Amino acid sequence: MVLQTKTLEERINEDFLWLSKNTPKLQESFQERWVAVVDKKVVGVGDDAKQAYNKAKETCPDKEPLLDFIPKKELLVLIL
Amino acid sequence: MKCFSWKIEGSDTLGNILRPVAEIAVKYVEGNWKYISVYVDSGADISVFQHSFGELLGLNIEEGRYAKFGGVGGGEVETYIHEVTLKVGDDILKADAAFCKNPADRVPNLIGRRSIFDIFEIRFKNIDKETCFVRSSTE
Repeated sequence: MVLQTKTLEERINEDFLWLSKNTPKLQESFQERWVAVVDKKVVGVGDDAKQAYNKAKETCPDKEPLLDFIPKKELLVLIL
Repeated sequence: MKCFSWKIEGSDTLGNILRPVAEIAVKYVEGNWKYISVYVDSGADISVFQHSFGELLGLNIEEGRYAKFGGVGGGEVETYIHEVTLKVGDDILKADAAFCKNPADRVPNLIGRRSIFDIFEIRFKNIDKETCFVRSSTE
């Protein structure tokens, strides 16, 4: 039997796709908060990026999380 | 070429909507890569990140170049611009990015035109619901 290990990039890509599909659910609980995702699970939440990142590293010390800021349920017009 | 699926996000007025996003890695000087989902915003002059993400990268934010930005609604955001290293797919580049001065500013994290749109041809593919980055310059 051959065990296949995902590369970091492959795992981050999967977590990105998961986030892309599941943000409406996350908006129910985490609007305007940062989340850190590892293996398609939210493993850290915080009011800022450092909090979410540090919680994720406590839970999964050997894995880099994918961070995202969960937006409010409002329309965005982004021109800076 | 690296392509990213658009992201589903809920809105009170229009229900679920799709937005162009990308997964990128960012680091400052010799720090570790930090992975983040960002909007891809062709209307933004420069990439923008919240204050706390800059702190996570190890930046002393107020050591950057001060810049104030205006948005569509007339609101202003004070920032400091720093040069960081970005990774998009397998491509690594130096890019200027603005980091919010105020930790309470809840701006969307986004990549804008400066540094990035000069190097990539970026295709917003509405039919396929994805955004593709094609390296078009070796700068």
